[in-house]
Amino acid sequence: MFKAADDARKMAKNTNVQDWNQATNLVITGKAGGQIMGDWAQGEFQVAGKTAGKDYTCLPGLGLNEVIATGGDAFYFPLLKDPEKAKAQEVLAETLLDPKTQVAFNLKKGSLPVRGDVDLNTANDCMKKGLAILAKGAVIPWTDQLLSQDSQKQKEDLFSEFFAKPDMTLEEAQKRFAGIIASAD
Amino acid sequence: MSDSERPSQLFRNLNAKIASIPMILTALVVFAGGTAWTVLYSFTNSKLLPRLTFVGLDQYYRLWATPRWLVSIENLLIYGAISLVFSLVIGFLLAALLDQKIRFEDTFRTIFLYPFALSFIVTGLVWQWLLNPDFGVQRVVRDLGWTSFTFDPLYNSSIVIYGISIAALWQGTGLIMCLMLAGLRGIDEDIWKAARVDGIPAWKTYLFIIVPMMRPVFITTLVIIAASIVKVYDLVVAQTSGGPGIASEVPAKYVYDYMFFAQNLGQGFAASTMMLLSVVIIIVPWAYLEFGGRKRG
Repeated sequence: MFKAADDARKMAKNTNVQDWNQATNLVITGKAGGQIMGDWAQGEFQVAGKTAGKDYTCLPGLGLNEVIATGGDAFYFPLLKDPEKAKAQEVLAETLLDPKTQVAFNLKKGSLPVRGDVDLNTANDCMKKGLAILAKGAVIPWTDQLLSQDSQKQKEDLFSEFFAKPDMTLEEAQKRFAGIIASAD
Repeated sequence: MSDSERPSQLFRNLNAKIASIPMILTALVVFAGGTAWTVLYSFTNSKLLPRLTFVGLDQYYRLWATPRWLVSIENLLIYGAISLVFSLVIGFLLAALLDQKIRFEDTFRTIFLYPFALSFIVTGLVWQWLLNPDFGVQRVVRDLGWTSFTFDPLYNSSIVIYGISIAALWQGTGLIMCLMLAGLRGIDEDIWKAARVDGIPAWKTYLFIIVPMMRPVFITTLVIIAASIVKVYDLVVAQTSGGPGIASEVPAKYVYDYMFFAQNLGQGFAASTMMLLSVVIIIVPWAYLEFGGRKRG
Protein backbone atom coordinates (compact mmCIF):
# COMPACT_ATOMS: atom_id res chain seq x y z
CA MET A 1 0.00 0.00 0.00
CA PHE A 2 2.83 2.33 0.79
CA LYS A 3 4.44 1.60 -2.56
CA ALA A 4 1.34 3.14 -4.18
CA ALA A 5 1.57 6.11 -1.80
CA ASP A 6 5.24 6.52 -2.73
CA ASP A 7 4.33 6.58 -6.45
CA ALA A 8 1.65 9.17 -5.74
CA ARG A 9 4.20 11.17 -3.78
CA LYS A 10 6.61 11.20 -6.73
CA MET A 11 3.83 12.30 -9.08
CA ALA A 12 2.69 15.11 -6.78
CA LYS A 13 6.09 16.77 -6.35
CA ASN A 14 6.31 20.56 -6.72
CA THR A 15 2.59 21.11 -6.94
CA ASN A 16 2.66 23.81 -4.22
CA VAL A 17 -0.94 23.62 -3.05
CA GLN A 18 -2.23 23.85 0.49
CA ASP A 19 -5.97 23.09 0.27
CA TRP A 20 -7.83 20.27 -1.48
CA ASN A 21 -9.88 22.65 -3.65
CA GLN A 22 -6.68 24.25 -4.95
CA ALA A 23 -5.62 20.79 -6.11
CA THR A 24 -9.04 20.37 -7.80
CA ASN A 25 -8.37 23.68 -9.51
CA LEU A 26 -5.14 22.25 -10.93
CA VAL A 27 -7.17 19.46 -12.56
CA ILE A 28 -9.83 21.90 -13.84
CA THR A 29 -7.24 24.15 -15.46
CA GLY A 30 -5.43 21.20 -16.98
CA LYS A 31 -2.22 21.48 -14.93
CA ALA A 32 -2.77 18.15 -13.19
CA GLY A 33 -3.82 14.82 -14.62
CA GLY A 34 -5.96 13.64 -11.76
CA GLN A 35 -6.84 13.99 -8.12
CA ILE A 36 -7.59 11.42 -5.47
CA MET A 37 -10.55 12.94 -3.67
CA GLY A 38 -14.12 12.18 -2.65
CA ASP A 39 -16.96 12.89 -5.05
CA TRP A 40 -17.72 16.20 -3.33
CA ALA A 41 -14.98 17.64 -5.55
CA GLN A 42 -17.61 17.63 -8.30
CA GLY A 43 -19.03 20.78 -6.71
CA GLU A 44 -15.88 22.62 -7.82
CA PHE A 45 -16.21 21.23 -11.35
CA GLN A 46 -19.86 22.37 -11.45
CA VAL A 47 -18.94 25.92 -10.50
CA ALA A 48 -16.26 25.94 -13.23
CA GLY A 49 -18.90 24.82 -15.74
CA LYS A 50 -17.42 21.40 -16.50
CA THR A 51 -19.58 18.37 -17.37
CA ALA A 52 -19.00 14.87 -16.05
CA GLY A 53 -18.22 12.35 -18.78
CA LYS A 54 -17.15 15.11 -21.21
CA ASP A 55 -14.62 17.36 -19.46
CA TYR A 56 -13.79 15.02 -16.58
CA THR A 57 -14.72 11.60 -15.24
CA CYS A 58 -14.57 9.56 -12.03
CA LEU A 59 -12.72 6.32 -11.38
CA PRO A 60 -14.24 4.64 -8.32
CA GLY A 61 -11.49 2.74 -6.47
CA LEU A 62 -9.04 3.93 -9.15
CA GLY A 63 -10.67 1.49 -11.52
CA LEU A 64 -9.12 -1.51 -9.75
CA ASN A 65 -11.47 -2.35 -6.86
CA GLU A 66 -14.89 -0.88 -7.40
CA VAL A 67 -15.84 -0.19 -3.78
CA ILE A 68 -17.20 3.00 -2.26
CA ALA A 69 -16.46 4.31 1.24
CA THR A 70 -19.61 5.88 2.59
CA GLY A 71 -19.92 8.78 4.97
CA GLY A 72 -22.01 11.88 5.00
CA ASP A 73 -23.84 14.61 6.82
CA ALA A 74 -26.90 14.05 8.95
CA PHE A 75 -29.92 16.12 9.88
CA TYR A 76 -31.19 15.73 13.44
CA PHE A 77 -34.77 16.72 14.18
CA PRO A 78 -35.44 17.28 17.89
CA LEU A 79 -38.92 16.33 19.13
CA LEU A 80 -40.91 19.57 19.28
CA LYS A 81 -43.98 20.29 21.35
CA ASP A 82 -45.53 22.70 18.82
CA PRO A 83 -47.54 20.55 16.35
CA GLU A 84 -47.17 23.12 13.55
CA LYS A 85 -43.38 23.11 13.83
CA ALA A 86 -43.37 19.29 14.03
CA LYS A 87 -45.41 19.24 10.81
CA ALA A 88 -42.87 21.62 9.21
CA GLN A 89 -40.08 19.22 10.20
CA GLU A 90 -41.87 16.40 8.36
CA VAL A 91 -42.30 18.55 5.26
CA LEU A 92 -38.57 19.37 5.32
CA ALA A 93 -37.66 15.69 5.70
CA GLU A 94 -39.98 14.78 2.81
CA THR A 95 -38.46 17.45 0.57
CA LEU A 96 -34.93 16.37 1.39
CA LEU A 97 -35.59 12.76 0.48
CA ASP A 98 -37.63 13.45 -2.64
CA PRO A 99 -35.91 11.76 -5.63
CA LYS A 100 -35.94 14.95 -7.72
CA THR A 101 -34.42 17.01 -4.87
CA GLN A 102 -31.79 14.36 -4.28
CA VAL A 103 -30.64 14.34 -7.90
CA ALA A 104 -30.71 18.14 -8.26
CA PHE A 105 -28.82 18.73 -5.02
CA ASN A 106 -26.23 16.04 -5.60
CA LEU A 107 -25.59 17.17 -9.16
CA LYS A 108 -24.75 20.65 -7.88
CA LYS A 109 -22.69 19.60 -4.88
CA GLY A 110 -21.22 16.35 -6.09
CA SER A 111 -22.24 13.27 -4.15
CA LEU A 112 -24.59 10.30 -4.35
CA PRO A 113 -28.33 10.42 -3.67
CA VAL A 114 -29.34 8.50 -0.56
CA ARG A 115 -32.01 6.58 -2.43
CA GLY A 116 -31.46 4.25 -5.35
CA ASP A 117 -34.71 4.86 -7.23
CA VAL A 118 -33.79 8.23 -8.71
CA ASP A 119 -34.32 9.00 -12.38
CA LEU A 120 -31.03 7.86 -13.96
CA ASN A 121 -31.55 10.02 -17.04
CA THR A 122 -31.01 13.16 -14.99
CA ALA A 123 -27.98 11.78 -13.16
CA ASN A 124 -24.50 12.60 -14.45
CA ASP A 125 -21.75 10.19 -15.45
CA CYS A 126 -20.11 9.90 -11.99
CA MET A 127 -23.42 9.56 -10.19
CA LYS A 128 -24.49 6.69 -12.47
CA LYS A 129 -21.27 4.78 -11.70
CA GLY A 130 -21.69 5.41 -7.97
CA LEU A 131 -25.31 4.32 -7.90
CA ALA A 132 -24.43 1.11 -9.74
CA ILE A 133 -21.82 0.28 -7.07
CA LEU A 134 -24.25 1.11 -4.26
CA ALA A 135 -26.82 -1.18 -5.80
CA LYS A 136 -24.28 -4.03 -5.83
CA GLY A 137 -23.70 -3.44 -2.11
CA ALA A 138 -19.93 -2.87 -2.50
CA VAL A 139 -19.64 -0.36 0.33
CA ILE A 140 -17.42 0.06 3.38
CA PRO A 141 -17.86 2.64 6.13
CA TRP A 142 -15.66 5.73 6.07
CA THR A 143 -12.68 5.75 8.44
CA ASP A 144 -14.47 8.36 10.61
CA GLN A 145 -16.75 5.57 11.76
CA LEU A 146 -13.91 3.11 12.31
CA LEU A 147 -11.15 5.04 14.06
CA SER A 148 -11.25 7.59 16.88
CA GLN A 149 -10.54 11.22 16.02
CA ASP A 150 -7.20 10.93 17.77
CA SER A 151 -6.01 8.06 15.56
CA GLN A 152 -7.41 9.86 12.49
CA LYS A 153 -5.32 12.92 13.32
CA GLN A 154 -2.19 10.87 13.87
CA LYS A 155 -2.79 9.13 10.53
CA GLU A 156 -3.26 12.52 8.81
CA ASP A 157 -0.05 13.86 10.37
CA LEU A 158 1.84 10.79 9.18
CA PHE A 159 0.61 11.12 5.61
CA SER A 160 1.17 14.91 5.54
CA GLU A 161 4.73 14.28 6.61
CA PHE A 162 5.18 11.39 4.16
CA PHE A 163 4.00 13.38 1.14
CA ALA A 164 6.10 16.42 1.99
CA LYS A 165 9.35 14.64 2.88
CA PRO A 166 10.72 12.84 -0.20
CA ASP A 167 13.45 11.16 1.86
CA MET A 168 11.06 9.39 4.22
CA THR A 169 11.26 5.70 3.35
CA LEU A 170 8.37 3.30 2.81
CA GLU A 171 9.47 1.04 5.65
CA GLU A 172 9.58 3.89 8.15
CA ALA A 173 6.12 5.09 7.15
CA GLN A 174 4.75 1.57 7.27
CA LYS A 175 6.17 0.96 10.74
CA ARG A 176 4.65 4.16 12.07
CA PHE A 177 1.32 3.44 10.44
CA ALA A 178 1.26 -0.02 12.02
CA GLY A 179 2.06 1.61 15.37
CA ILE A 180 -0.84 4.04 15.06
CA ILE A 181 -3.32 1.30 14.21
CA ALA A 182 -1.98 -0.94 16.96
CA SER A 183 -2.51 1.73 19.60
CA ALA A 184 -5.78 2.97 18.10
CA ASP A 185 -8.86 2.99 20.26
CA MET B 1 4.51 51.10 69.37
CA SER B 2 4.92 48.39 66.73
CA ASP B 3 1.55 46.88 67.78
CA SER B 4 -0.35 50.05 67.05
CA GLU B 5 1.46 50.48 63.72
CA ARG B 6 0.72 47.07 62.24
CA PRO B 7 -3.12 47.23 62.01
CA SER B 8 -2.94 50.69 60.40
CA GLN B 9 -0.45 49.22 57.92
CA LEU B 10 -3.04 46.68 56.78
CA PHE B 11 -5.86 49.18 56.49
CA ARG B 12 -3.77 51.82 54.77
CA ASN B 13 -4.86 52.36 51.19
CA LEU B 14 -7.94 50.21 51.90
CA ASN B 15 -9.76 51.59 48.86
CA ALA B 16 -6.94 50.55 46.58
CA LYS B 17 -6.78 47.11 48.13
CA ILE B 18 -10.52 46.54 47.73
CA ALA B 19 -10.39 47.78 44.15
CA SER B 20 -7.67 45.29 43.33
CA ILE B 21 -9.61 42.29 44.72
CA PRO B 22 -11.22 41.37 41.33
CA MET B 23 -7.80 41.30 39.67
CA ILE B 24 -6.30 39.24 42.50
CA LEU B 25 -9.19 36.77 42.27
CA THR B 26 -8.81 36.55 38.49
CA ALA B 27 -5.08 35.97 38.81
CA LEU B 28 -5.52 33.31 41.48
CA VAL B 29 -8.51 31.46 40.08
CA VAL B 30 -8.03 31.80 36.34
CA PHE B 31 -4.26 31.88 35.91
CA ALA B 32 -2.92 29.92 38.86
CA GLY B 33 -5.98 27.68 39.24
CA GLY B 34 -6.36 27.02 35.52
CA THR B 35 -2.67 26.21 35.19
CA ALA B 36 -2.76 23.80 38.12
CA TRP B 37 -5.88 22.11 36.70
CA THR B 38 -4.23 21.69 33.28
CA VAL B 39 -1.07 20.22 34.78
CA LEU B 40 -3.16 17.84 36.90
CA TYR B 41 -5.26 16.65 33.96
CA SER B 42 -2.20 16.15 31.77
CA PHE B 43 -1.59 13.01 33.85
CA THR B 44 -4.98 11.58 32.83
CA ASN B 45 -6.23 10.02 29.62
CA SER B 46 -8.98 12.58 28.98
CA LYS B 47 -10.34 12.39 25.45
CA LEU B 48 -13.07 14.80 24.41
CA LEU B 49 -14.08 15.68 27.98
CA PRO B 50 -11.82 15.79 31.03
CA ARG B 51 -11.93 12.78 33.32
CA LEU B 52 -9.84 11.73 36.27
CA THR B 53 -8.38 8.39 35.12
CA PHE B 54 -4.71 8.74 35.94
CA VAL B 55 -2.22 7.19 33.55
CA GLY B 56 0.99 8.60 35.01
CA LEU B 57 3.48 9.88 32.47
CA ASP B 58 1.91 8.05 29.48
CA GLN B 59 0.84 11.26 27.72
CA TYR B 60 4.39 12.60 28.08
CA TYR B 61 5.96 9.41 26.72
CA ARG B 62 3.66 9.60 23.73
CA LEU B 63 4.35 13.32 23.31
CA TRP B 64 8.09 12.95 23.13
CA ALA B 65 7.81 10.01 20.75
CA THR B 66 5.67 11.99 18.30
CA PRO B 67 7.74 13.33 15.36
CA ARG B 68 5.34 16.24 14.96
CA TRP B 69 6.08 17.47 18.49
CA LEU B 70 9.84 17.20 17.96
CA VAL B 71 9.55 19.20 14.74
CA SER B 72 7.46 21.80 16.61
CA ILE B 73 10.07 22.24 19.33
CA GLU B 74 12.87 22.54 16.78
CA ASN B 75 10.88 25.13 14.82
CA LEU B 76 10.16 27.11 17.97
CA LEU B 77 13.86 27.22 18.87
CA ILE B 78 14.87 28.40 15.40
CA TYR B 79 12.01 30.90 15.18
CA GLY B 80 12.73 32.10 18.73
CA ALA B 81 16.43 32.63 18.11
CA ILE B 82 15.84 34.52 14.87
CA SER B 83 13.00 36.62 16.29
CA LEU B 84 14.97 37.58 19.38
CA VAL B 85 18.27 38.44 17.77
CA PHE B 86 16.96 40.22 14.70
CA SER B 87 14.15 42.06 16.52
CA LEU B 88 16.59 43.50 19.02
CA VAL B 89 19.31 44.31 16.50
CA ILE B 90 17.07 45.79 13.81
CA GLY B 91 14.88 47.53 16.38
CA PHE B 92 17.88 49.13 18.04
CA LEU B 93 19.45 50.13 14.70
CA LEU B 94 16.25 51.75 13.50
CA ALA B 95 15.81 53.55 16.82
CA ALA B 96 19.42 54.81 16.74
CA LEU B 97 18.92 56.05 13.18
CA LEU B 98 15.62 57.73 14.03
CA ASP B 99 17.22 59.41 17.03
CA GLN B 100 19.49 61.52 14.82
CA LYS B 101 16.98 64.41 14.84
CA ILE B 102 16.00 63.85 11.21
CA ARG B 103 13.26 65.83 9.54
CA PHE B 104 10.38 63.46 8.97
CA GLU B 105 10.83 61.45 12.13
CA ASP B 106 7.12 61.24 12.86
CA THR B 107 6.37 59.87 9.40
CA PHE B 108 9.09 57.26 9.60
CA ARG B 109 8.00 56.22 13.04
CA THR B 110 4.42 55.78 11.84
CA ILE B 111 5.52 53.75 8.83
CA PHE B 112 7.65 51.41 10.94
CA LEU B 113 5.01 50.99 13.60
CA TYR B 114 2.10 50.40 11.19
CA PRO B 115 2.60 46.64 10.68
CA PHE B 116 2.19 46.16 14.42
CA ALA B 117 -1.43 47.27 14.10
CA LEU B 118 -2.18 44.25 11.92
CA SER B 119 -3.27 41.00 13.45
CA PHE B 120 -1.10 37.93 12.92
CA ILE B 121 -3.77 36.41 10.68
CA VAL B 122 -3.62 39.35 8.28
CA THR B 123 0.19 39.38 8.44
CA GLY B 124 0.29 35.66 7.70
CA LEU B 125 -2.09 35.93 4.77
CA VAL B 126 -0.30 38.93 3.24
CA TRP B 127 3.07 37.23 3.47
CA GLN B 128 1.63 33.99 2.13
CA TRP B 129 0.60 35.86 -1.01
CA LEU B 130 3.90 37.78 -1.21
CA LEU B 131 5.97 34.62 -0.92
CA ASN B 132 3.73 32.63 -3.28
CA PRO B 133 5.89 31.52 -6.22
CA ASP B 134 3.07 31.90 -8.76
CA PHE B 135 1.80 35.33 -7.75
CA GLY B 136 4.30 36.97 -5.41
CA VAL B 137 7.89 38.12 -5.29
CA GLN B 138 9.23 35.26 -7.42
CA ARG B 139 6.79 36.00 -10.23
CA VAL B 140 7.50 39.76 -10.18
CA VAL B 141 11.27 39.29 -10.34
CA ARG B 142 10.88 36.70 -13.09
CA ASP B 143 8.68 39.05 -15.09
CA LEU B 144 11.34 41.74 -14.74
CA GLY B 145 13.77 39.48 -16.59
CA TRP B 146 15.64 37.21 -14.15
CA THR B 147 13.81 34.09 -15.31
CA SER B 148 15.67 31.62 -13.14
CA PHE B 149 15.10 33.47 -9.88
CA THR B 150 13.61 31.20 -7.21
CA PHE B 151 12.26 32.43 -3.92
CA ASP B 152 9.54 30.21 -2.47
CA PRO B 153 10.52 29.51 1.15
CA LEU B 154 6.97 28.52 2.05
CA TYR B 155 7.04 25.38 -0.13
CA ASN B 156 10.49 24.18 0.87
CA SER B 157 10.38 22.05 4.00
CA SER B 158 13.83 23.00 5.23
CA ILE B 159 13.45 26.79 5.11
CA VAL B 160 9.74 27.39 5.62
CA ILE B 161 10.34 28.46 9.22
CA TYR B 162 12.52 31.30 7.93
CA GLY B 163 9.65 32.44 5.72
CA ILE B 164 7.47 32.61 8.81
CA SER B 165 10.20 34.50 10.70
CA ILE B 166 10.26 37.16 7.97
CA ALA B 167 6.57 37.85 8.47
CA ALA B 168 6.93 37.90 12.26
CA LEU B 169 9.91 40.27 12.15
CA TRP B 170 8.07 42.61 9.78
CA GLN B 171 5.17 42.76 12.20
CA GLY B 172 7.00 43.02 15.50
CA THR B 173 10.12 45.10 14.89
CA GLY B 174 8.16 48.36 14.86
CA LEU B 175 7.17 48.04 18.49
CA ILE B 176 10.70 47.17 19.57
CA MET B 177 11.98 50.19 17.67
CA CYS B 178 9.56 52.48 19.48
CA LEU B 179 10.51 51.12 22.90
CA MET B 180 14.20 51.49 22.11
CA LEU B 181 13.63 55.03 20.85
CA ALA B 182 11.92 55.94 24.12
CA GLY B 183 14.87 54.46 25.99
CA LEU B 184 17.36 56.36 23.86
CA ARG B 185 15.50 59.61 24.43
CA GLY B 186 15.82 59.03 28.16
CA ILE B 187 19.60 59.20 27.99
CA ASP B 188 20.99 62.45 29.30
CA GLU B 189 22.39 64.86 26.67
CA ASP B 190 25.54 65.28 28.76
CA ILE B 191 26.52 61.66 28.23
CA TRP B 192 26.62 62.20 24.47
CA LYS B 193 28.59 65.40 24.88
CA ALA B 194 31.08 63.78 27.25
CA ALA B 195 31.59 60.89 24.85
CA ARG B 196 32.20 63.28 21.98
CA VAL B 197 34.68 65.31 24.07
CA ASP B 198 36.53 62.11 24.93
CA GLY B 199 36.81 61.37 21.22
CA ILE B 200 35.03 58.00 21.37
CA PRO B 201 33.70 56.93 17.93
CA ALA B 202 29.90 56.82 17.65
CA TRP B 203 29.57 53.04 17.33
CA LYS B 204 31.66 52.49 20.46
CA THR B 205 29.53 55.00 22.35
CA TYR B 206 26.42 53.10 21.42
CA LEU B 207 27.84 49.68 22.14
CA PHE B 208 29.72 50.24 25.38
CA ILE B 209 27.98 53.20 27.00
CA ILE B 210 24.40 53.55 25.77
CA VAL B 211 23.36 49.90 25.59
CA PRO B 212 24.39 49.10 29.20
CA MET B 213 22.54 52.23 30.32
CA MET B 214 19.39 51.03 28.56
CA ARG B 215 19.31 47.74 30.43
CA PRO B 216 15.71 48.10 31.74
CA VAL B 217 14.44 48.82 28.22
CA PHE B 218 16.23 45.75 26.89
CA ILE B 219 14.70 43.61 29.60
CA THR B 220 11.21 44.92 28.82
CA THR B 221 11.59 44.26 25.11
CA LEU B 222 13.05 40.83 25.86
CA VAL B 223 9.97 39.88 27.84
CA ILE B 224 7.63 41.15 25.13
CA ILE B 225 9.48 39.31 22.36
CA ALA B 226 9.70 36.11 24.40
CA ALA B 227 5.97 36.17 25.10
CA SER B 228 5.12 36.54 21.44
CA ILE B 229 7.58 33.78 20.47
CA VAL B 230 6.12 31.14 22.74
CA LYS B 231 2.55 31.80 21.69
CA VAL B 232 3.07 31.90 17.91
CA TYR B 233 0.08 30.10 16.45
CA ASP B 234 -2.16 32.26 14.28
CA LEU B 235 0.75 33.35 12.10
CA VAL B 236 1.57 29.74 11.24
CA VAL B 237 -2.09 28.85 10.65
CA ALA B 238 -2.61 31.82 8.33
CA GLN B 239 0.64 31.52 6.44
CA THR B 240 1.24 27.82 5.93
CA SER B 241 -1.26 25.77 8.01
CA GLY B 242 1.66 23.82 9.37
CA GLY B 243 3.85 24.07 6.32
CA PRO B 244 4.57 21.58 3.56
CA GLY B 245 3.61 18.44 5.44
CA ILE B 246 4.44 19.22 9.05
CA ALA B 247 7.53 21.34 8.43
CA SER B 248 6.31 24.52 10.09
CA GLU B 249 4.44 23.11 13.06
CA VAL B 250 4.76 24.94 16.38
CA PRO B 251 3.92 23.77 19.92
CA ALA B 252 0.87 26.03 20.32
CA LYS B 253 -0.58 24.57 17.14
CA TYR B 254 0.07 21.05 18.41
CA VAL B 255 -1.80 21.86 21.63
CA TYR B 256 -4.79 23.29 19.77
CA ASP B 257 -4.97 20.54 17.11
CA TYR B 258 -4.76 17.72 19.61
CA MET B 259 -7.20 19.25 22.05
CA PHE B 260 -9.92 19.97 19.51
CA PHE B 261 -9.39 18.15 16.23
CA ALA B 262 -8.00 14.94 17.64
CA GLN B 263 -10.31 15.29 20.68
CA ASN B 264 -7.52 14.19 22.97
CA LEU B 265 -7.42 16.68 25.85
CA GLY B 266 -4.78 14.67 27.70
CA GLN B 267 -2.21 15.08 24.90
CA GLY B 268 -3.00 18.80 24.52
CA PHE B 269 -2.58 19.34 28.26
CA ALA B 270 0.73 17.45 28.30
CA ALA B 271 2.02 19.62 25.44
CA SER B 272 0.94 22.86 27.09
CA THR B 273 2.50 21.76 30.40
CA MET B 274 5.76 21.25 28.52
CA MET B 275 5.45 24.78 27.12
CA LEU B 276 4.88 26.11 30.64
CA LEU B 277 7.86 24.15 31.90
CA SER B 278 10.18 25.64 29.30
CA VAL B 279 9.09 29.17 30.26
CA VAL B 280 9.51 28.42 33.99
CA ILE B 281 12.98 26.95 33.46
CA ILE B 282 14.09 30.25 31.94
CA ILE B 283 12.22 32.64 34.24
CA VAL B 284 13.03 31.10 37.64
CA PRO B 285 16.86 31.33 37.50
CA TRP B 286 16.61 34.81 35.98
CA ALA B 287 14.22 36.00 38.68
CA TYR B 288 16.54 34.62 41.34
CA LEU B 289 19.49 36.48 39.81
CA GLU B 290 17.52 39.72 39.44
CA PHE B 291 15.71 39.89 42.75
CA GLY B 292 17.70 37.52 44.95
CA GLY B 293 20.80 39.65 44.32
CA ARG B 294 19.13 42.83 45.44
CA LYS B 295 17.92 41.38 48.74
CA ARG B 296 21.42 40.35 49.64
CA GLY B 297 22.79 43.76 48.67
